[in-house]
Amino acid sequence: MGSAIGLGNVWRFPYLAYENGGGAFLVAWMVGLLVLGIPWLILEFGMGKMFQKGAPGAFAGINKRWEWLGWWPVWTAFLIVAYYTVVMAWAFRYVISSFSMQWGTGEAAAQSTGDFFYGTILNLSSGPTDIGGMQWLTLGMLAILWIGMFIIMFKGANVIGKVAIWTVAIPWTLLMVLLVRGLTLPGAVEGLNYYLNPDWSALATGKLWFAALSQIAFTLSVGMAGMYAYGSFLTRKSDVNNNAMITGFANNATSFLAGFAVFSTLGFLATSLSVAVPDVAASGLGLAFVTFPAAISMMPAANGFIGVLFFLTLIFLGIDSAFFLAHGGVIAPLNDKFGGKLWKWTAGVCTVGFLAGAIFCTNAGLYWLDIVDRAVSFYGLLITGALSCIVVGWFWKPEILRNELNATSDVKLGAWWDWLIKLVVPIGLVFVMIYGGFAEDIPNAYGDYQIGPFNGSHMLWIILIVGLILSFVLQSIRTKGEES
Amino acid sequence: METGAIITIIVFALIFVSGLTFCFMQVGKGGKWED
Repeated sequence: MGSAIGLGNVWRFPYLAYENGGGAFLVAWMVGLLVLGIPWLILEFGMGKMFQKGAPGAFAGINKRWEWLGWWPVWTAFLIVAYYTVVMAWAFRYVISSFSMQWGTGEAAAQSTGDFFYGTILNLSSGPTDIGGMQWLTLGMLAILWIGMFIIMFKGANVIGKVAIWTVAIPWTLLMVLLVRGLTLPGAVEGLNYYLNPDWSALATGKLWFAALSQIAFTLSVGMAGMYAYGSFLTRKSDVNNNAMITGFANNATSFLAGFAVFSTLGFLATSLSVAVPDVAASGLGLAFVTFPAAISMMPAANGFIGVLFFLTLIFLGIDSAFFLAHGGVIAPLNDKFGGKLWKWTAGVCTVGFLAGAIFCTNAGLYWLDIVDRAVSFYGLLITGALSCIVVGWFWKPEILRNELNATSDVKLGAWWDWLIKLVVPIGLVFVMIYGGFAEDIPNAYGDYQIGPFNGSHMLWIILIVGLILSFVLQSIRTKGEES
Repeated sequence: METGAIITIIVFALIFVSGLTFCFMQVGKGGKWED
C-alpha cells in the first residue's frame, strides 16, 4: 500500500480530475481500477508469490527465454528511483526553507515562487547539455536520503515492512491535517466545485479515458518490477486477491482525499489573488514546488508550519515508493539471480543510485529528469506491462496462476480475469501509449531538446533500448543463485 | 457547493468505505512478510 500511494496521488490525480470532467473522470478512473489496475496488480503479486522470485525469476519460471521481460522493468525501477529521490531532496530543501519562509509571504512572494524554484533551488540552465554546476545542497540531501534508505533496506523486507507502517500512517495523518486546513480556508468550496462537479459529456472523449487509464497505470506501482518481489515475500497461504483489492481501493481513496486538500487550497489561492481557479490549477512539479508554495505564502497564519507539513507529506509519501523501487525493483531481483549478501547488493544499488541521481542535481537536472521520466515512467512501464500481460495470457496459461491464487482466497477469480489479462489490460496500456505517447512524440521531437545529434524523442528510444540490451545480457548470464 | 459536486462526494465516499470494509472483512488468511 505504501508503495502504491506516492507523489502522483497528490500532484497528478487531482489535476486530471479537474481537467477531465470532475465526477465523470472519477467514474472512468474507478472502471480503470477494476478492469486494468487490480487485475494487473494480481498478476504481478501472484507471479511473485507463485515463483517466490522477483520479476526476472518469475518470468524465467514461465520459461527461461522470457527472463529479459523481468529485467526490463528493473531498468525502469532503477532510473525512476534515481530521479524520484532527487524530487524528495528538493522537498527536503523546501522543508528547511519553510522554517524561515525563504520564498516570502504575501502577494508579491506568491507570484514569484517560480523564481524561487527554478532559480534558487534548481538554478536551471538553458538546456540539457548546459550542465552548469552542481546544486551541492540538493546533492547533500540526496546523500542523506540514500544513506537513510540503506539503513532501512539492508536487513530486508521485515524491517521495510515495519518502517512502512509509519511511512504510510504519517503522510496520511499529515494529509488529513492539510485537508482540514484547506477546507477551512476562504474560497475552498470554489476549488472543490472545479475538482468534483461532473461534466458527463467528457466520458465520450478519448482524452478522459486516456487520463483515467494512464493514472491507474502509473499510480499502483505496477510495471516497475517491485510488485513481483513483494509478492515473493508473501507466504504460500497469503491472500493475494484481497491484498491487491485493498491496495487498489486504498490507493484510490487516498487520491480522492488528496484532491480535497489540493483543490481547497487552490480555491483559496485563486480567491486571495482574485483570479479564477483554472488560472492557478497545476499538476506535477509545478503544483508541488510553485503553486502550493504560493498558496502557503498567502495563508493568514502559520505559513512556515504549513510549509513544513506539506513538504514532509511529500517526503513521507515518496519514501516508501523509493524503498519499493530500490529494494523490490532492483535489489531483490539482483540478489535472486546472483545470490550473495543482501547488504552488499543494497550498498551497491544505493551507491549507484546516488551517483546516477547526481545528474539530476546539476543545473540541467530538470531537463534530464523530464527526459528520463518520459522514457521509463511512461513508455518503459507501459511497454513492459503490456508485454508481461501478453506473455502470461497467450504464451503461458493464466488459469494456472488463477487456480493457485484462488486456493488461498475467499474472493475467487473467474475465467474473466484471464481475458482481462489477455485482452483488456494490454489494449488499455497500448491505447495510453499511442494516444498520449506515440501520437505526440513521433511527429514532434519530445520537449524541443537537442543533445548532440539526438533530439528528445531519440533520447527516449535510446534509454529504452539500452535497458532492453542490458536485460538480454543479464538473461544470458548463468549463475549459481539461479541454479539453486 | 454545487449539487453535482455534493453527489460525487457522497457516491464515491460510499464506494470507498464499502469497498474497503468488504476487503478488510476478508482478511485473515495470512499475509505475513518473510525474507
